[in-house]
Amino acid sequence: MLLASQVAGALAAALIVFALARGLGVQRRQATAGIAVVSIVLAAVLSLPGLQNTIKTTLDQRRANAVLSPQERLLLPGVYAEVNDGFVSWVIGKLQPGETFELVLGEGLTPDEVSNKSQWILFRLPTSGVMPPVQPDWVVLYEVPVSQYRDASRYEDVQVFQPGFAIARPAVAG
Amino acid sequence: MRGEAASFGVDLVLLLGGFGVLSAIGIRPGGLLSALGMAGLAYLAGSAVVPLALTLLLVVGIPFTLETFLVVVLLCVAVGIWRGWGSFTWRWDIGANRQGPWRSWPVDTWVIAAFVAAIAAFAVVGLLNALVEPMVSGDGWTIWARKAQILTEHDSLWSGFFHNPVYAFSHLDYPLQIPIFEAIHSRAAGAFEAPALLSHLWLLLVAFIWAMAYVAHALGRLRPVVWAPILLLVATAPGVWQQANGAVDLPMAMFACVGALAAAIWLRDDDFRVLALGAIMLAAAANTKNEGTAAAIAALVALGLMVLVRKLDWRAFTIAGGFVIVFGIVPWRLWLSHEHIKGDVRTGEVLHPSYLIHQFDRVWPTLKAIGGQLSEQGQWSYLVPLAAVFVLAALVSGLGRRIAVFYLVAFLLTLASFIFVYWVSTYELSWYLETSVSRTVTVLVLFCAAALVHLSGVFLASLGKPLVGSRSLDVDKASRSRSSDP
Repeated sequence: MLLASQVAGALAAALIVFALARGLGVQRRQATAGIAVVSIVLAAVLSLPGLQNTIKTTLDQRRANAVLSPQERLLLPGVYAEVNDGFVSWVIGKLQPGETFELVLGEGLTPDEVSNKSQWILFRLPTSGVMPPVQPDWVVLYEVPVSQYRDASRYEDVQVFQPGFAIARPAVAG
Repeated sequence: MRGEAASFGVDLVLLLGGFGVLSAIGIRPGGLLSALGMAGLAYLAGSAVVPLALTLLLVVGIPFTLETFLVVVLLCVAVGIWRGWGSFTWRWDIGANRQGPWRSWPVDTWVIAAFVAAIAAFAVVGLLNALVEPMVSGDGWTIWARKAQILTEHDSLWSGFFHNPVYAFSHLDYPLQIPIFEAIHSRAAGAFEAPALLSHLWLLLVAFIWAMAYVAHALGRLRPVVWAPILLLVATAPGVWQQANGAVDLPMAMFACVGALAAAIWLRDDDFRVLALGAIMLAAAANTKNEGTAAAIAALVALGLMVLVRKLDWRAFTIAGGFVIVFGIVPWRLWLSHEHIKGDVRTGEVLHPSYLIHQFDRVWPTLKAIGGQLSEQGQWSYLVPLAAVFVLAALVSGLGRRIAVFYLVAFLLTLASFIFVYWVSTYELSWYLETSVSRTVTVLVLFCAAALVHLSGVFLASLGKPLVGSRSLDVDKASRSRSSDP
């Protein structure tokens, strides 16, 4: 509705320009072309403050971004997703090249949290390690109940970063 | 620091490749000044053609490496030199009217000088920010940069990623134009770092504005007093420049916009090299995003319609359309089909009348959301209402009616395709609209920008011109020079 009224307003302005030009004895098609002149003037009038605002906003953004270290810049989306990056960095150090893993997030997290955190964690961890949920070398346990990784029937060689955050090898069946 | 320099070296290589591509299709600089004027278009053309070629090579199993990239660029340059041999001279090709003292410059030269100064300030400030900016756009890192990361670490379309259900959130069916563009830079830098890609995406935006100016001025023969303020308005629209954040709706819309402008210029001038440029850009748009495929097809249908109605060069259109389909759409779609990778919209399943009726209550909220977004003038700087005025005035008066119809049909078909996707999608509608409409409308706005630049130029050109019989006041083809010297 708002768009329709904006277009109608612009058309009305164009009609006024056209009528004025015709009133001054300008030919019909050239009066139509006069709309271009008015629009171009309008664009010029709008673009100059636009340029000034863009440059000012960009410089402000640069000032804010410049205080971040390269590492902070790299990890900012994870900060927004409230990911425990200490744990993720610790896991990266534990995984050997070529080792596969499965990421398991705690059931206490909301679906949005699971989505945001898992996407970022998978972005940080080595891509070559991710496997479909078959038998991975490691299971990365993120924000899970402690009892979950203490279950010897499911996991062995458990290494804990802090309560709720651990990696473990899946228990060999049988 | 060395890695960063190497990644900017890739931009120079893309620029060279782009000059080769432009020369191959017949758009050649006569000397240093016109080469400088063409540089934005050359960078955009290199960034369009090289990833298109690398997509094709990846699909047929040729490894994606820096060596393959260099071979593709060298081929572009070689063909360009072969086709354009002798057309370039190493001197400043300043037109006769610009050789006098600066006080005697015509208005157009002053406007160009002011435009160059404004865009240079915009480019430098934006680049300084992009060099220190984090990539916080969710789509930027989780979809596009993630694919770039895979292509940086693997030489092929690695099945561990593309067949991995864990990565379904990355929309595995989305095409690879920008991930390849990003991965080339990461490979040259020697390591993958998502924020480092933002400066190259910023360069792509600057190149787009520069390219639009060149296409409008040198190929469309539109006066700078028209295109300069409008392009400045486009560049500084917050909805445009704030999207140089890693999401690819803006790069897709930029390719589509240049493609639409070039195609529309061909409609008036029948200059095949401009149509070839349009085809390259539309193919790149199609290979950037699924919405880009829709926009490219919409532009082709609109163009085909005009060819049919106006009895234009059918053969030229078929070649251009064929190029877009064969190089921009088919390779990736064939690979997806061969690998059984499905997208969000499964056409076969959603085209049942009962399904469409069941989902029909999604149409009106979608239309409202898109209309609402297009009316956000704080984001889009009045480009849509201004374009609407010109299209309507062109339709009524006959001034540039042909191109007005082309832009209108391309806009409406693209809009219809977006509405269809929201209509049949299985995503929860309010969430889907909220998280995507502000980005997906970018191509619609940039189609409006192309129409605005083009039609206002045509309108202005008709001022002071005598009426020619009962024909429309379309600028006389015969009076147009084919020179590409700005």
